[in-house]
Amino acid sequence: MALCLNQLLQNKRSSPFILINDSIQLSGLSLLSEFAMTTLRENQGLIVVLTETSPTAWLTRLQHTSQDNVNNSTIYIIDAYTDPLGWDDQITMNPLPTGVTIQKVQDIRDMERSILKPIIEKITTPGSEYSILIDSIHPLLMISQQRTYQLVKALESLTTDTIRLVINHHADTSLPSNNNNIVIPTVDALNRLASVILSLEPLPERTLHETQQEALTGFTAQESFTYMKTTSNLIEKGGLAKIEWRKKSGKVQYETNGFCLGSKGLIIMEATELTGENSMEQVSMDIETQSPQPQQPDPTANLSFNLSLTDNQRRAKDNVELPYMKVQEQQQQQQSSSGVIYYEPDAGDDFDDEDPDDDLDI
Amino acid sequence: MSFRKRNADQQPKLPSGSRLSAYNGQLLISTGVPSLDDIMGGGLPVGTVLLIKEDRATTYAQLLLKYFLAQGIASGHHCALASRDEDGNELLRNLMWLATSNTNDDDDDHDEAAKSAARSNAEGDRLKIAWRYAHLKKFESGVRQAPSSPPPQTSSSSSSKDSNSSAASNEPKPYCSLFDLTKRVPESVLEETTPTVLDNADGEDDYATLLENIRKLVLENNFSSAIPAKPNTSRKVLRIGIHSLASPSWQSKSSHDLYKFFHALRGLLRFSFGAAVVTIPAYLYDEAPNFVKRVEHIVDAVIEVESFAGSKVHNDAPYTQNYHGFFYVHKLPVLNSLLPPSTKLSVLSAGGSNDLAFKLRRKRFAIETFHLPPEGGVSERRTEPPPSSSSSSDNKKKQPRRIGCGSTPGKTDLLEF
Repeated sequence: MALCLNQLLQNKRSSPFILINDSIQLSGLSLLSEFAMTTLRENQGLIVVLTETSPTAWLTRLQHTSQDNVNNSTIYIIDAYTDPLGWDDQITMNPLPTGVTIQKVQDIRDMERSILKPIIEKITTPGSEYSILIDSIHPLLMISQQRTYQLVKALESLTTDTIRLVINHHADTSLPSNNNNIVIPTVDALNRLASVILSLEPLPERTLHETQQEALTGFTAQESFTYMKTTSNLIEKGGLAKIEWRKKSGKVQYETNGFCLGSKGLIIMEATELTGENSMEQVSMDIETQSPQPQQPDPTANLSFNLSLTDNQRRAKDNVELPYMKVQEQQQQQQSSSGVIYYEPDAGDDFDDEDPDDDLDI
Repeated sequence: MSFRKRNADQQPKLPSGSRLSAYNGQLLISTGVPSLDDIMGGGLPVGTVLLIKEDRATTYAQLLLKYFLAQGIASGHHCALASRDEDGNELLRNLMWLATSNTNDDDDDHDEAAKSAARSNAEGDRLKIAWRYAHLKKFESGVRQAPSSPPPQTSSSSSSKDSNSSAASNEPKPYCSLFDLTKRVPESVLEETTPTVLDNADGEDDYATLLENIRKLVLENNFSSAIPAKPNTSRKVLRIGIHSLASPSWQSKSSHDLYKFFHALRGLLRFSFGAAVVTIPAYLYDEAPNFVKRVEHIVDAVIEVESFAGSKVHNDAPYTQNYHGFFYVHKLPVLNSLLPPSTKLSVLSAGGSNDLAFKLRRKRFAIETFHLPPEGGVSERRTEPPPSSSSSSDNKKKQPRRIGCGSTPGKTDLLEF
């Protein structure tokens, strides 16, 4: 069975709006670039809105992982990182590789016109497939939560079978709220719109691999001494993605997949391989798969007496007169003539166990 | 003094598609789902507001709202819809429509034939051996739909179209109709009844504009009971459906605007022939529970839908095969009385002591009492784990590593003592 994350990346099943909730412990940028890579590999158009990554860094990321396919398809970058508020006059741009167009955003406060309009213009050509990526929605949220929500809703309404939307959101930030208004947390508001929610989590510090190693050998692995130790975003070690996929049929699929950084991009794997919970789960899984055998032993097989009926015996059984047949017929005759009384004893009815007349049948 | 004979014509007629409650004489309209009508004690009283707390990740609350509006169209009431998350016209076009009498009343279970065969076999045995139980009532966990009269057959010729529509209007409209979820409202019916979509201009306070629109609708179209109607006109009932109120798309200056809206809506509806059903995504306000609590106190009836698909815990539970989610009744309409009428009348909720769950079949939505399935599933038998020779057939799974001494069940350990 294909892993959920692989299915999402390859866009085989419908997933119009993917929301990635990352945190400072594990950034969603690598997963986002993985989405971009799969889009380019299938020669689809890519529209990226960059708010926290510079275009050169983004392009380096893409070229880093796969050399050849980048040039074939078009990448359209809406650059809201370099100069979102229009402070600088003229910037000389480095020459761009072929197939890449950059649209600079001078006024991010007018997000509808500077971001939404170019996207709509780009995808109005029918039949072409696009993936719209937003690097981080946080700067837009800081300008106005309400308008960002409307923007995301508008983008979501643009999604079709061929156009999908992937947004990265820093779920661990909380935005300042008004005094009077009770504000819905942005995470919940965005989760409500999304059809797939990916929550990224780093691996626990000591995985079960290490605990087992310790128990077996008695030694713990110590990291070599460094002056500066990175504690977060250890993508080489790997991370976990908790997936909630709301399908069109109404069913929701929950799954956790793991990923880690390989030489050519992310390697997706089962979550248990990373955390090492495999060994514990294996034992219980074996027991469960062994008990429901496909062939249930037939209890009536090896008996010294016969439990089935032949036809003669069945006919004889049907003809036996049961002891209360006469009373039944009498009752049926009574029923057909008069009305039926439904009697349900109430709490007030007292039953006298000693009364001998109870079952008197006159 | 003069004795005036009570003339049947001079008595105010009931609006179409409504009935009086057997318990306290209130005017009731159907919500479209017979089990929900039973829980409410016959139906939703006219003049009340029903709040439905939405479910996460699924759209069952929206389905209930659609049932409400579809029943309104089928019963000849005027429908009004407001929504900021979905397109109102699109929602109206996708309403469900009446089932024809040919289709089976029961839902499409796979073993329908086997069920009926089993039932007839059981019948035969019951009469012979357990005959004293033959006339006891069968235990019902759901509410049966009363078989509806078939909708008037419309012929295809255009000349008789006029006569058909006039004939349909003279027939009494049904109280609660049987709907088929696979069918859609025909365009002609929508054009005849012209439901209103209350759209909101983008302003500062969406709730105030919505309230203004509703007030105009009630006053201008003769729904208000404070203004006497002209004699010989029959009143129509107004059904207001509001989808996903207080979602992030609704703007307001302060949180009090929502309370003011509900308070004013309830007051407006009390003196009108209208009822409202409002769905609210209450799960978004988990951090501020008092917000939704205050709204619950203002409205008349509160029900909550919790789908199993919306939570990771419930999604894989064994009872998801039979039911699709839990159904909670938090508050019931109590107008001019101390106890809600459904305490005595309701079969399903049995005075509030039963757990309720709902299930959505291909053609029907039903609310039933919740029973846990048999422990461990119906077909599982408790057998001893067979010896470990069969485990080598599983090539896919890695051999588990065992640490330390002691036996794990199913595998024999030579050192076990």
